[in-house]
Amino acid sequence: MAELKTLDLTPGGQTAHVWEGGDPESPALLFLHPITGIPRWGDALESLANDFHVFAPYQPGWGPAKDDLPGVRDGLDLVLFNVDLLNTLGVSSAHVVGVSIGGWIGAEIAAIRPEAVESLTLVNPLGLWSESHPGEDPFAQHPGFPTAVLFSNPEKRNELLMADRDPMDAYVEELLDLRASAKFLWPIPDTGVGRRLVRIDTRTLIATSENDNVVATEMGDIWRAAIPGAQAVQIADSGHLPDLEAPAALTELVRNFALEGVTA
Amino acid sequence: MKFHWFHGMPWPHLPPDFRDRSDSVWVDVDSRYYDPAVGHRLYHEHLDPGWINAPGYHAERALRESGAATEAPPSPEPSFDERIVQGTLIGGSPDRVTEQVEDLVTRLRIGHLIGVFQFGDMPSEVTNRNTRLFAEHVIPRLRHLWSDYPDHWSPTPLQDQNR
Repeated sequence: MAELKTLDLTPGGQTAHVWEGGDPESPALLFLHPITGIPRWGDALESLANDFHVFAPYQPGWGPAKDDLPGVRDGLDLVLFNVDLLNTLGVSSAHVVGVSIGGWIGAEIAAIRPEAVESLTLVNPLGLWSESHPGEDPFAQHPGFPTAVLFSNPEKRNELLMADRDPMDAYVEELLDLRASAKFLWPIPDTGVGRRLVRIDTRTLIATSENDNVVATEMGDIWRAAIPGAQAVQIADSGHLPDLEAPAALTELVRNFALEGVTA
Repeated sequence: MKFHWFHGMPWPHLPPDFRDRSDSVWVDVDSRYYDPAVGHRLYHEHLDPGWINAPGYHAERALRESGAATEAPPSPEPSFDERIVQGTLIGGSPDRVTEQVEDLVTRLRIGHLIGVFQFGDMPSEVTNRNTRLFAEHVIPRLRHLWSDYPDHWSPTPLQDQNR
């Protein structure tokens, strides 16, 4: 079972809201959520917790940390938030899995604090820009269903993101999560991380989803080529958010790569 | 020219798989056939109230209370006069506009007001008339509001001896 904890971080002093699940004896895993935050402790995290000691923090500005957005200005602040989190938890290094905007943050952590990262899995990462493969703009969508574009089929937004939640709460959180994402990614999601990828010496896997409207599958090769020794794979039958659309495929891929070094 | 036809169309009434089923939403029209008056009318007829909620535009309370946080089709468009009564539109004769702006400026303690007199695809002659009416008949009657407060924000020229 998982627990949502609130921690005061040292030395930065921020407050962190973090899901923790799995056996504390298992290898630590830091899950960096996508644009849509963590709507619930879902299948992907539950399954990862079978093999890992999972920590899934809400980044400042998302979910219960919605009011912390003014306290962060750029990617470095987000990196330090996660570094402080690991420090406060007493975790010296972890397998890092980042989806969507979390992929960018994960890559930054690996570039800046390589010793904190056991392995790096970037899933549909944002943060590199290619004129040839711009993808859909996640911030220029109809506000009635603002994240529908993130799914392989727009109907899945209701099914996977909004269902079983208070409609108003879910909708407001959806828009506030997008607000937080836009702070770092709008208008062009070119975060400058491309200049730092060459520093990553952690073994790295890039996964792109077959039906992602936002991060084109071609971006997988661009990321792979920029990170020394990185490997790239595809996830079938999923849009931008395989943590919601393809939790089994995502967790199997993470487990195989992080624990066995296998990418098949 | 390119006329981005669906830009202002009511998206809630388009099917969710619209993008998959439509190869293109771009319609090329010879600019000689474009009538600005018709374009202006269409722009306003089809402006979707849903667009007011771009990420980051509104605080949480505004999202919750605006009633916009829903996929339901918007209620019927209020008329020009209804909007003025609601306070969501400033418009009408210079007297009426003066009255409305004075009320807002007084209640909200506004010291600096920035006006945008062109919106949507308003033709330039209408924009010019709009701007001129405001400058000549509204601003002079409001300039005195809060004028006894020091203005710390507007740039002022350096004193001669400091130039």
